Amino acid sequence: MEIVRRICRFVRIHISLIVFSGLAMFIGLPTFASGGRSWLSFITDNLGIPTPPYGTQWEQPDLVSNTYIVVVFVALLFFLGSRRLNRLPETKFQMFLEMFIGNLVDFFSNVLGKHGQQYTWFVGSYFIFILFLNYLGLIPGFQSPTADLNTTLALGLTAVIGVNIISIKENGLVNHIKHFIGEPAWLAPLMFPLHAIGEVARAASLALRLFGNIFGEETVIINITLLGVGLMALLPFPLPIPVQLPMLFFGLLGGFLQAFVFSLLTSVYIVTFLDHGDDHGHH
Amino acid sequence: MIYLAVLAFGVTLGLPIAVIFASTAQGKAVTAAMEGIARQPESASSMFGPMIVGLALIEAMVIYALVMFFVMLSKLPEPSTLKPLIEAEANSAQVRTQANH
Repeated sequence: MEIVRRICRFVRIHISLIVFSGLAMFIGLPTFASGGRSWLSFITDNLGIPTPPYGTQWEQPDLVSNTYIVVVFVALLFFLGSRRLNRLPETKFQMFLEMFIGNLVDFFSNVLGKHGQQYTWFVGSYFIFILFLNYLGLIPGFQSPTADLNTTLALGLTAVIGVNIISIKENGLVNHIKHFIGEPAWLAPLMFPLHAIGEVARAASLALRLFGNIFGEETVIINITLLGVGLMALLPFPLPIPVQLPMLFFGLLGGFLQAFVFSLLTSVYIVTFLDHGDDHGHH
Repeated sequence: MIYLAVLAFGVTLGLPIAVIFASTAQGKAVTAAMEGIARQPESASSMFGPMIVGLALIEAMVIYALVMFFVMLSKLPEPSTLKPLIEAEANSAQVRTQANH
């Protein structure tokens, strides 16, 4: 009896998944046809936020609205979760948030070493923000703001600037500049520009990695969805076939992985600055 | 016309070459990590982070190739604008062959 009920639940969940993602095809197509406008286009139009003309590559018309809906959502989520805190968590919500944040702190403490507790807020907030930005694109009718080069460049630049500020705070300005100069001091005219360009390249590589992954994934999803529409036209009756379903699950994996990689690399950059400062003391 | 032909080869071949070598490199990296985990199963959790960082750095090369792919893709002309070019080329080739004879 139990096994029959379990099989029934399994089948029901899968059928509803397939039906809903098939319907999602119908919802997603008008946004594609109207020049990449998302459901939030009315906010953009009413507030008078300038939009790039249609056909501009790598720029989304509703970037600002899409980003701020995520900001509001994350802020509300954590505000509601941390409003009435108990020492022993009573609600599932507080339990979930504590587990989430606890795992984040544990993981980044492993990477950051003795500064783990101190700087988890920096890399952890990048993780949470980018995770939600990536997952917004999986909801039909919305777009991932990280599939736009402007967002990812801003994120990468702020990450690298933040890493440098942390390094100045920990090592002092003189040691920070010494790190840029390198070991033999007479090579400074050569090494200083090299390290400075290296910092810019770090920001660019963070930005391009995130942008390329998410943009490529979104492009694949929309192209496979269009293939599904073509497939539907071949059938004698209009049955939406969710051929993009496996790609959506890959999007879940890829979105998590990219947020993870971004924050992990940022923490590795922090570690390279801090460990180098320690080495100066020993030699 | 030769420019467009070379561009077409660049667009279609650049990304696959990058993908072939990057997937080989990622396979090597994951093989080494798996062998390490098989030898010392308790090190699996500490090996996860560095492996992901290495894979991300390898993958970045493919992503640069992907970005270059999109840049070059936007340089390719529309098929409708391509048709007069091909016709002009065919005409000039015909004129050349007639002149040679």
